[in-house]
Amino acid sequence: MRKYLELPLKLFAITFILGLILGVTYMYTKEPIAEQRAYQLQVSREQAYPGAQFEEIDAEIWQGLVNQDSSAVIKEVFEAKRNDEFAGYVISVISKGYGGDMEIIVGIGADKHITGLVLGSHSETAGLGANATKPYFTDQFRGKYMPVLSNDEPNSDQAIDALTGATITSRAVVVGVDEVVALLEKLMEVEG
Amino acid sequence: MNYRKVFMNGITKENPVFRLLLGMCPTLAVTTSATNGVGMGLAATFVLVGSNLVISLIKDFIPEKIRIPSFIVVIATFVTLVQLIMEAYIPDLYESLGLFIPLIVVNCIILQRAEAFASKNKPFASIIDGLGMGLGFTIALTALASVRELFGNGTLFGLEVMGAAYQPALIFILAPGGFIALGLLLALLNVMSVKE
Repeated sequence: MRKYLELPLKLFAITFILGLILGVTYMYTKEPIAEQRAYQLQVSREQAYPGAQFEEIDAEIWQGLVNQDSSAVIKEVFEAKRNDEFAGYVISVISKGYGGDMEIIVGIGADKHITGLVLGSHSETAGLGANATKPYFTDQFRGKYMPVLSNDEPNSDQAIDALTGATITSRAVVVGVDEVVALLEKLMEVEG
Repeated sequence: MNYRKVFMNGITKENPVFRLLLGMCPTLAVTTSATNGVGMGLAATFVLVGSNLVISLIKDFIPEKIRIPSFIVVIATFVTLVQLIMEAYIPDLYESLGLFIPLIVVNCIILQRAEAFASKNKPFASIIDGLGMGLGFTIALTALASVRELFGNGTLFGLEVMGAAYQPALIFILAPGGFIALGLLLALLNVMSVKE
């Protein structure tokens, strides 16, 4: 009988001690990790809209304006300011890529043209879809106001070249940006 | 104990990818570019050395009958600790290796080394074994990834190699190309080792 008690008790002891170690580590690393992530987002916002200050807009204000039919979901809206004057928005949107959710941070100026686009966390295929983080893809969006894929409308002046072998990823980014542009139109109506 | 032999064992005689055919899932998944191959290899080496050391230290406490669940719990805990600490205090390293860490939990090389080596040997030898196995894994991943990146993208470590006229055979970067490239590499190595 003792033998049958020994095994579960020892396994329990091992899992208990390891769980305890894990819990303590989590407790101590929680703050620095949160700071790290907030810092990363701040850096992304600055890349999306260089030289601006940001002020988060309460979700209650924009939640009702969001298009519910789109596969892309708006996550955060920041107002961009230059010298304390309204200069546009920086909006984070979650779009469905090839490997799952991908976070896209889009900066848009007061003239409704895109100031920059940054890809946050994503799980696209390395070497294919993951190339969407590279400047040669994201820089294409700068200065556009209604980007489309060149596969769909090759002659448009808003055309973006899709990534080789990663059309789904490229399309997901464009869908995310569409959603941001749609929200922007409504935000500008509301705020005048 | 011959430490040199233990170290070389993981690189040549029992290379985890080319000889034991272990850890195929991460091997095929991440070897789309040489940089990825190195990253995954180094992250796995890091965890392998650590888990080997921990397992070797507590091996006398773990009863034979429940060793597998114990190893899995130890490895999963260790990987999670590494991930948390890396993200909190070494964000630059986390940026480049963090992507691969969750893939390591399910990497059977780690469990196999715990079972086959660390649970039967002293801590120092286990560290050497982890280093050798990890380096062997890194070399194998980098070799496979270099072939796939070279033919599938015309580049090596992101640098243009094949020239602008080369039309990349995209299949090498996609999953089927992973299997084909791995098969051809294994065949090549077998031919070479038979000749010896």
